[in-house]
Amino acid sequence: MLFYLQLPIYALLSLLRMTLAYLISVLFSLSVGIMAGKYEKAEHIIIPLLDILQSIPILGFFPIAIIFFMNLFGYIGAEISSIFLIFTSQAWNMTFGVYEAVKLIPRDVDEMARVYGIGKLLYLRKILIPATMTKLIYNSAMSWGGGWFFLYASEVISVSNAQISLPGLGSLLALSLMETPPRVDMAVLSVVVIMFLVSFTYLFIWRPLIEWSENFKYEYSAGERKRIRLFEIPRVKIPPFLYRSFFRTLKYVRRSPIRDIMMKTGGFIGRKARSMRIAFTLLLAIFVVYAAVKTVLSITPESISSEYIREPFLVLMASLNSIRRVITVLLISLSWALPISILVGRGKHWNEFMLIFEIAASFPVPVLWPFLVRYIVLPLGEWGFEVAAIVLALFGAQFYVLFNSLAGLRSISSDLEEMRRVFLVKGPLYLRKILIPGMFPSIVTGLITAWGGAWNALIVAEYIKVGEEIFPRRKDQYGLGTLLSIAAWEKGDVSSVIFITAVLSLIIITINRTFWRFLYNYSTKFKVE
Amino acid sequence: MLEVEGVSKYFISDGSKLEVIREISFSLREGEFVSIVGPSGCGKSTLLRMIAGIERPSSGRITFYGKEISSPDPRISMIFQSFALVPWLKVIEQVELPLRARGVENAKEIARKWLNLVGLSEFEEFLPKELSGGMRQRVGIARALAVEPSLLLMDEPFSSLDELTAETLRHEIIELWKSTPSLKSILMVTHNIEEAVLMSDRIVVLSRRPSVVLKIVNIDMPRPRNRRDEKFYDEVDEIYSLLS
Repeated sequence: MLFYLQLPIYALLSLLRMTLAYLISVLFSLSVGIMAGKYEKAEHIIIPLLDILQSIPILGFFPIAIIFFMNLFGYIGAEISSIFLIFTSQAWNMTFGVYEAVKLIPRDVDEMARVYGIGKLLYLRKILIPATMTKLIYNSAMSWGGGWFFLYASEVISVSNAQISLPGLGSLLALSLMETPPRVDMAVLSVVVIMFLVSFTYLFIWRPLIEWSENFKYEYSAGERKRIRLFEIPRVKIPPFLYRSFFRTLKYVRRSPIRDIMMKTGGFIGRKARSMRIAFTLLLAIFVVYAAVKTVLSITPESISSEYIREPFLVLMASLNSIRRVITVLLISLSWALPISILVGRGKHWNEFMLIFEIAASFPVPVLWPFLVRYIVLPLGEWGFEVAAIVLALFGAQFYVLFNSLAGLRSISSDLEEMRRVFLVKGPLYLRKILIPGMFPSIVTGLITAWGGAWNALIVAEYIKVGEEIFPRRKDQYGLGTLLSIAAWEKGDVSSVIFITAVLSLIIITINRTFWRFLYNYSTKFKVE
Repeated sequence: MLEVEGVSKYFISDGSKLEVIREISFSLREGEFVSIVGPSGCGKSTLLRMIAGIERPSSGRITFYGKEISSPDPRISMIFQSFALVPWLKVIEQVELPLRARGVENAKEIARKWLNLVGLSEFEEFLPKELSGGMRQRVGIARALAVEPSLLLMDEPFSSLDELTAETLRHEIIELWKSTPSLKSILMVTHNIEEAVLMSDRIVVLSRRPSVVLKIVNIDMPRPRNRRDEKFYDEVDEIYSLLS
C-alpha cells in the first residue's frame, strides 16, 4: 500500500541523495581540478584519467558499485552506491571546468600575487576559487541537471531487486505503477513533484547563480560577442523579489557564525596539516584493508561462475544488439533535432523555446520507464520491448543533439548571415555551403555526447522485470544491459558483471578513440576562429 | 538612383525606445561616390543595412530606381568591415557563392575573371585563414563586384586593415569603379574623415545619436586627389569642426 504521506518524505530522501552527491562533487572538483591546474605532474595523470572516466557509461558500473558497497556496509551500501553513481555523473565535467578556469587565470595576476607576497591560503581564497566560480557554477548547473537522471535510474533499478531498497520519488513512481490495479494518481503526483524539483532548482537556484557568477570572469576584450554554450541560459525574467531574497540569504549566510567556524576550521587544518595528513592516510589504509578482506571473504562459487565468459557468441550478439539500438537512437535524434534547430534557431521566440527545451531535457528519463513498461512492453511483448528501449534511450540522448546544433547555428557569425542575405544566398545553397558546414563541429559534439547518453539509458532500458517475468524474453533480443543486469541481479555472478562491464567499456572507448575522434578532428576544419 | 526620405530607426530594448536615426534624407545619383561619416555608434551602419534591405526603417522610405527597398535588391552589393568570408570555403568558392545563388551558368569563369582583376588568381584554392587581411578584403571586393551591381555599399571597408594596405585598396576601388561601366555608384560608411574626403564626391555628415544630417559637403576636386593639397585640408577641417 502506498500513502500520500510518502510523497514528501520520499521527495526529501531523493533531494538529500542529490545534495550529498553534489557536495562531494564540489569538494572533489575543486581539490582535484586546482591540483591539475597548478601542478604539472598531477596534470599529466589526472587529465587523461578524467578523460577516460568521462567517456565510460556510468550506469554500467552501478551493479559493481552496489555489489561492492553492499558487501562492505550492508543496507546502507545501496545508499552509498546511489550517491556514488550520481557523484560519478557530476564530478568529471565540473573538475574539467575548474581545471580550465585555473589554467585561464592570466599570468599577470599570478605574478601580481607573487610580487605582493600573497600567502597560499589567501591566494586560494581570493584568487583561485573565485577564478573557478564561473565555470564551476555553470558546470554545476549542467551536472545537477544530469544528476537527476542517475538518481532516478538508481531508484528505479532498485525496485526490481528484492535486496536493494532506495526509497525515493523514482521508486515511488515505479512501485505505484506496478501495483494491481496501478495507482495512476500516485504516479502522476510523483511525476509532478519530480518536475517541480527539476524546474525549481534550475530556475531559482542555478539561473541566478549563473548570472551572479559572471562577475568572476576575467574579461579579455570589451566588445566581445557572447559565445553560446551548451544549455545557454535564456534571459527570461525572474521576479526581482526572488533575486533579492536569494542574495539576502547569501549575505546572511556570509555574516553568520558559519563563516567564522569554517574559517577557524580551515585555519586549524592548515596548522595541523601534518598530523591531519597522517590521520587521513591511516584511515584510508584501514578502509582499504577492510574492503579487501571483506571482498575476498564474500567470494562464493556463484560469484565466480563466470557464465558469460564461456558464451562469447551470446556476448557478441548482445553487443551488436546494443550498438544497433544506440545507432538507431542517434539517427532518430539527428533527423528531428537538426531541422527543428534550423527552424527555431533564428526565430524571434528562441529564448522561450530554449527554456522549454531545457526543462524538457532535464526531465529525468528513467521515471518514464515504469510508464513504458506498463503501457507498451506488457501489452505488446517483444516488439513493445524494442520500441520502449529505443524510446527511453532516445530521451537520454536527443536533447544533446538539439542543444548542440542550436548552439552551432547561433555560433555562425552575424556578418555571415548578413552577407548571405545581401547576396541572396538561400535555400539548398545556403544549407549546403553555410548552415550545415557551420553547424558541423557542434553537431559532432552533440552526437558524441548523445552517444554516451544513449548507452547510459540503454543499460536501464534493456532489462525489465515485472513480477517474475523478464524482458526481453528472447535471447536474440538481449543487449549488454540485459546481460549485465541478469548477471548482477539474477545470478549474483560478480565475475560476469565485471566481464560485461569491461566489454561495454572496451566497445565504447574503442569507438570513441577511432570513429568519433576521426569525425571530431575532421569537424575542426569548419570551426570559426 | 537612390533616395533616402525621412528615415528614422529605433530599437526597443527592455521596454524603452532607443532612437538611433532621426529623419535622415539624402539622395545618391548615378556616377557618384558618396560617403557617410559620423561619430561611432551614430547609426551609420544601420543606415547602410537598411539600404541593403536587411533591416527595415521604423519610418520613412528608401527607394532604389523608384522602387521601395523592402528586401535585398540583386543590383545592390556590399563590402563588409569584417570581410564576412565563409571560413570553410576556398577563395574561388567565396566569389562563386552569390553567382550561384543567382543561377549564373558560368559562375566559375566569372569568379576567376574578378579574382584576376583584384590580383588573386594565384590564391583561388586558398582558405580565408591562409590569407592576409588585405587579401581577404580583396576577395570581398571581387565577390561584391562579380555580381555586377549598379550600387556598391561599403561598410568601413578599410578600417580593419593596416594603413599601407588600406591606401592601396582605396586607389584600387576607385580604379575598379572607373573601369566597370555597370557599377554606377558607391556608398561608403566610414569614421575616417580623410578617407572620405580622398574618395567621395559628397559627404553626408551625421551627428551623435539620435543622428540627424548635420551637413552634406560637396568635394569638388579632381581625382586622383593629393592629401597634401590645401583644399584637401580645408575640407577635412570643415568636417572635423562639424563633428566636434
